Amino acid sequence: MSSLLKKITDNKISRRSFLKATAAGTASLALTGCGSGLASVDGNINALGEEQGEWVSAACWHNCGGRCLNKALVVDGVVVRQKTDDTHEDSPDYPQQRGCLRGRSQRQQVFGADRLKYPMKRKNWQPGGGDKSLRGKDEWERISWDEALTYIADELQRVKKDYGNRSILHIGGWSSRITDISRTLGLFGGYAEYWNTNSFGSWAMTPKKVGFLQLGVWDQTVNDRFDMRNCETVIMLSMNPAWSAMGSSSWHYLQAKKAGAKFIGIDPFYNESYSMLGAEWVPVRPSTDSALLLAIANVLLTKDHPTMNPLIDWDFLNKYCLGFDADHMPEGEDPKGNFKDYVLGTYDGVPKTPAWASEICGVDKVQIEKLALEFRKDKKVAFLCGMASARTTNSDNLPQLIMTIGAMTGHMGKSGHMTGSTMHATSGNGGPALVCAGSNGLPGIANPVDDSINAGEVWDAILTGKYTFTGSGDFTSADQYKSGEQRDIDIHIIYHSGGATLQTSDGMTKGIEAHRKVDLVVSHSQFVTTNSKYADIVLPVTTEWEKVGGFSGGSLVHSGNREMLIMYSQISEPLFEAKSDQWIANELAKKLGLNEKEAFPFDEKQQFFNALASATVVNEDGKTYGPLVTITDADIKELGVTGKPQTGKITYPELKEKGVYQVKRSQGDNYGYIAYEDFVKDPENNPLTSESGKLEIYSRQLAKTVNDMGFSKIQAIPSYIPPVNGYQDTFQDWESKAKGEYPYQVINPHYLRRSHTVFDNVKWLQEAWHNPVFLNTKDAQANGIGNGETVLITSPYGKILRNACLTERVRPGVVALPHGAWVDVDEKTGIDKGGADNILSGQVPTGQGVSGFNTGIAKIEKYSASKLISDVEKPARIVF
Amino acid sequence: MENLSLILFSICIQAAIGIMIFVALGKSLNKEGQFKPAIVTAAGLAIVGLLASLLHLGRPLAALNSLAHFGTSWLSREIWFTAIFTGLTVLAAVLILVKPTAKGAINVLAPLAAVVGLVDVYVMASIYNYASVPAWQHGSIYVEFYAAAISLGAILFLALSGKEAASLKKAASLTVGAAVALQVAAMVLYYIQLGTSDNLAAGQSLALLNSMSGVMAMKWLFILLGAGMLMFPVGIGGTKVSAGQAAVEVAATTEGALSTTVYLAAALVVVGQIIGRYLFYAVMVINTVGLS
Amino acid sequence: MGKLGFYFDMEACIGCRTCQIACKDKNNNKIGVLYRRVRNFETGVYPRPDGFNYSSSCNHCAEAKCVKGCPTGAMHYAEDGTVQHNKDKCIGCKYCIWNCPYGAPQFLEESGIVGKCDSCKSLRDQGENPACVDACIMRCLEFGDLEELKAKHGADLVQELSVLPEANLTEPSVLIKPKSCAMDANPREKEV
Ligand SMILES: Nc1nc2c(c(=O)[nH]1)N[C@H]1C(S)=C(S)[C@@H](COP(=O)(O)OP(=O)(O)OC[C@H]3O[C@@H](n4cnc5c(=O)[nH]c(N)nc54)[C@H](O)[C@@H]3O)O[C@H]1N2
Ligand SMILES: Nc1nc2c(c(=O)[nH]1)N[C@H]1C(S)=C(S)[C@@H](COP(=O)(O)OP(=O)(O)OC[C@H]3O[C@@H](n4cnc5c(=O)[nH]c(N)nc54)[C@H](O)[C@@H]3O)O[C@H]1N2
Ligand code: SF4
Ligand code: SF4
Ligand code: SF4
Ligand code: SF4
Ligand code: SF4
Ligand SMILES: [Mo]
Repeated sequence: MSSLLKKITDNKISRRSFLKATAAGTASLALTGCGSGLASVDGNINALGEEQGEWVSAACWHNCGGRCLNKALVVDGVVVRQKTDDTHEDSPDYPQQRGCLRGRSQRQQVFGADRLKYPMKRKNWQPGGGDKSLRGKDEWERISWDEALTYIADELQRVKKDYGNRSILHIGGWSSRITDISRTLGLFGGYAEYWNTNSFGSWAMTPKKVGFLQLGVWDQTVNDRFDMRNCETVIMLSMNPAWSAMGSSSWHYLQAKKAGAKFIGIDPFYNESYSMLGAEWVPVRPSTDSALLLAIANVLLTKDHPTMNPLIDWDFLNKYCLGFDADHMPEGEDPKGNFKDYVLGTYDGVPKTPAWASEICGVDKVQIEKLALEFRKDKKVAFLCGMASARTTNSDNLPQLIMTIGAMTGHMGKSGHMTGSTMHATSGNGGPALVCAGSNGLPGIANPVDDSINAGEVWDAILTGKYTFTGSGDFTSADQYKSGEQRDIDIHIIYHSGGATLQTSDGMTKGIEAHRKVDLVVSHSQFVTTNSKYADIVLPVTTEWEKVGGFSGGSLVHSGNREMLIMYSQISEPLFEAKSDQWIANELAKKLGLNEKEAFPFDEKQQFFNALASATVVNEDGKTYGPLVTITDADIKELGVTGKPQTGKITYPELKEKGVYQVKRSQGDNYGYIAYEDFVKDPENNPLTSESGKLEIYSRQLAKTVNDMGFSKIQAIPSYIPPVNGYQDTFQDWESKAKGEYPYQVINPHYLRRSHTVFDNVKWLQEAWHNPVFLNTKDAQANGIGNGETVLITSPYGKILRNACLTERVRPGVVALPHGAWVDVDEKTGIDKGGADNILSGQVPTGQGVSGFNTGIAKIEKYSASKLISDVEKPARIVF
Repeated sequence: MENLSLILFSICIQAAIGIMIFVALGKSLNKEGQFKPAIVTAAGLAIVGLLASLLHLGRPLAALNSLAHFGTSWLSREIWFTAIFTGLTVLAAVLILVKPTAKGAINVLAPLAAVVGLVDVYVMASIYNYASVPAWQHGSIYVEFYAAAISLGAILFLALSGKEAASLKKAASLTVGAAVALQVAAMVLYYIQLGTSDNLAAGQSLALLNSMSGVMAMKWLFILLGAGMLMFPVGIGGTKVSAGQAAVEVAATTEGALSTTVYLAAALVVVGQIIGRYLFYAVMVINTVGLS
Repeated sequence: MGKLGFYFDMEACIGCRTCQIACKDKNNNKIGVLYRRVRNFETGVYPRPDGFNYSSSCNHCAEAKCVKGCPTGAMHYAEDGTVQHNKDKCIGCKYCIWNCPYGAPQFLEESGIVGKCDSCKSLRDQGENPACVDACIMRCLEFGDLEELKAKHGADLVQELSVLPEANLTEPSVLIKPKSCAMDANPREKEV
């Protein structure tokens, strides 16, 4: 065997044969100019590569719930294999940043045969729109970059002249302001923005108002991973790190289990995380957590006894909180409005007892009582919450209620005690970033237009010409959450410069309708994504593997864990005619007669260098920070940029070779973190973000802000407000409990086959994960649906098909539909064969403009017309 | 149909073996008998079978590699025995055609081929019996294979060279009946084992079998009808005689001519056994993780 | 050196399939060809369900039926005791596929022969671990001397599960740290 290898390695092998090598496995592209080498090879290409190739740190840049080190074995310009972090010995204290199945399929995505190769135009599109109804069904025509940019520039000018900049809706995914094109459009006079509470649901605004944030972010309301090992009980609410926080998070939780912690999972779905941790299951109905937690507060209040049964930490409540009882209400507020009396039903006559909650949340009242006692103050408890339960309608008080339970039981600010939200790349590991990403140094460019449309209204706004203005939707902006103001709006252009918004925003059926109304839809993308499918002009963009390189991690909130920063390098030349978003922004600026030097004063290389030079890392003291990278004149020359040499903790060549800088951690080091420690030690000098600086169980500001926005009304204390499209709505008559037309509740677990929509076109992943709809066995049988059979799921907003996976792990009455599948509408029947979650969701903004992704209702029936073929058997979307 | 080559291979070889067995018996009873049609047909079937087996391979051109592991591999052994059997039979056939005078050689070759063939049938069955396919791990498959060889052999022999071994007619007809009877008995036991096994793969095979009960019925209908026509009296030109005897008398009187009944019986049994073999492969469910 | 094989910590496995994909990448396998495969199983009923995952490849059995049955010797024992496959000898008769009770060998349409987990011998020869082992997010997989693995991971390791064939059929070189529910009589396989 090894001699055979030697033989192959000895003779220099051609670029061509490697092209074949990369292609082997699935249909893949060769590099530009080399034609596509869809041939297979045998012989041990891998060991071969190691002798001839070079391992390069490869970007994995998605909003995927993790942040990991991935490396690509590049031989003769072609990627033959991938691997993950092996830069240091692996241990639970100092873990390698191991990549997941998706990151390890990255080469299949980047070199996929379905990559967009050329700019394209919809055949029947003409300036002004042409036949708009054909969007999504039309043929594509290949056009040149010059044609494409000219069309776009001319339409922008025309629409600006006739209707003004407000009629250009620019959507950049997360925020309309983060993509490169926003700079060009800003200089052009501005654009209407789109905003979405996305991940955060009602955690988007509530925590700031009630004082449930640390250092301005969500990730830091729980202690760090080492301290979790000190917990006796870990109570998880709507969490699934095993699927939604790839990387080392699940491993961190396992360490807590090994250290003896007992786990409890409050969730409609007994997911992989809970079963791996051996968690006790509390099968709550979706969107009913507030009822459950109010009953827990009720049990704590009624069962608490200072000596016999100490459940409540009264000192904590009295010292750190506002509004718990009549004696601790804010100035000038009616004492009757306090939380305690609401829970006990003193004035409304409805004590929020387990029996009361059980009817709503579906958890047996005895189990609710048991659960309440688990929170007891004399135990070391972690109350950890994902945000899925707040991606629900009318949930604006839920984060506040979670905070209240934590405060009542004193599980805050101490080792082994924690209460807060933890999710995504920082799941189970709170604390400030120890390595901090730098900045590319580009000066900001303002958007002169102030219009910003909430996701729950955006498609309606295009169709009806009206929307509710509530200030900017950008999280970095100061003027968010203004009093609601009804505005007219007349959108003529939808410009998708990033994100998969038509696919991931509420109410896709309406979204498609809206896309078929405007004059022009532009989409930057790498594949025929949903945005591009329904667009007129599609611009092929490069992936991160084809860019100069960059950084990921080094900051929290969806960017990475606190302990490391990844630097990735260019892997390949741009494929075919793909260009970077920045190149497009520049060229479009020229076409629009703008000064591109203003849009981008310096190039991407220099931007990379600025970020490199400004990255910082914590010092041994665990408090102060210094430069991360040592940069020499030679490095600056090699990069061909302007800058000054500096000394840091790692040289540029070493960082480039390793691809990551990770702080070496160990038990009891200086980098540990206890959330709220300063506040608990000295509340006066460490006020929280709330009006009073305390934990506001009664929050005037929260109630005022939400109620002024005008989507719906809430109270200043946590209360149960029946959600829109929630459990109650599955009945035609709640009193008599007669089931309605849509008797089931729908939730959208984030799914391991993909990162939202990203990777969903990768065959390796389609083969590994089938994307069924998860149905409780009895529910399925009651509807005559067998395992593997095709199900028609109908909501008030649309119809989809999926094959069923019958399971005992989803609570009865709940339909668990994986999030993010690419829509695939059968134009004859109008049914989506792709199983897209947002075909089932509607445009229903509530409270702070929350997208209620996990509040949905539907009916399920066996689909006899034809069996749905598995996704892996579907042809890839290859245009040219 | 992926298993076509395997069905063709096993049926042809087993039929050829069966024929040679009766040729050998025939010769022991009738030293003068040539049994030319039988031997030539057997040789033809053996060659067709051998070629068909190549079609099953992903790399037919490398087929010879399979001779390498006689010591451990049933499959390797099968190739050996089948090759030798084919060699002997073809040699016999060639001699009859080009050098009919070499009676002595042929009289040695035929029984030799028959013996090698008898072993070959056992080896063939062992291949499947050894595999991790619960539906094949049962003694009945030995019976199936031998029954197929004997019944096919006997009836084809009768149809082809019956006239040369008058004394064998009755015995031959009876062995067909006996073989088929055994086959039925084995099938019953087989069903019982498959039904009582708690192995999921076995369960899936059973389900497959049940889903093809129509085909199964056809198999037995054809086989039993064919065998029946030989065993039991059927009207031929008014006089009641068994098809076997009919063959004798007709043969004795009209030179070379043979009762269509025997051809019909032969056709029925052959088709029946082919259908049976189709089912044999169709129910293959390999044991694996989750199916155990 | 004793027998080499895999260790699998079922208690930690989250069924993510990173190992399966790492293997696919290492071997450039086409759709339908899996040298390592992860399966999900469910036990119990609502409201007390449970589940376990099983990540399996070739077990490099001590009494390998694939080797014994192979007519060409393509399936053979390497000097280190792992079961290896010789592409040049293989005639694609699929007999190993019939013989392996673990579904390890896979038919490769394009080349007309079979392929299977080679324990990443080429990597191990270079002093590296198998791709799947170094990929595992939960560090459930290890490859090495079975005796050493036993010593390291304790006595309660098994080679049989209700979803696996009897170990005495092939003497698989695998050590499993089972979840208790994996010992249940009849788990249900789930296509997630
Ligand atoms: N029903 C339902 N809807 C949901 C959710 C749910 O649970 N249920 N979850 C919500 C949540 S939490 C979130 S965060 C959002 C996420 O919503 P999105 O951010 O819209 O989802 P992604 O799929 O991450 O979109 C990323 C897009 O950017 C593209 N892309 C990648 N690289 C580049 C590049 O370099 N340039 C350009 N121009 N494009 C690039 C990708 O191909 C992809 O189309 O979805 C939300 N939507
Ligand atoms: N594989 C993968 N990972 C991802 C992503 C992805 O698309 N795919 N997306 C990333 C992003 S941007 C985000 S924001 C995170 C989201 O991360 P999470 O919010 O943790 O992920 P989800 O799967 O939406 O929800 C987690 C759990 O909440 C439960 N749940 C849903 N509704 C309710 C409810 O009303 N009450 C209760 N108690 N439980 C409920 C679900 O059943 C699930 O078990 O995931 C990140 N990670
Ligand atoms: S978790 Fe995210 S960053 Fe890590 S490998 Fe997977 S997709 Fe890439
Ligand atoms: S990578 Fe590890 S955790 Fe994931 S499925 Fe494989 S063995 Fe299990
Ligand atoms: S698992 Fe199967 S293929 Fe692997 S050695 Fe054992 S019998 Fe052979
Ligand atoms: S397919 Fe190849 S390896 Fe398998 S038994 Fe046949 S010759 Fe041996
Ligand atoms: S050892 Fe190598 S070939 Fe075997 S399963 Fe693991 S990765 Fe695949
Ligand atoms: Mo998110």
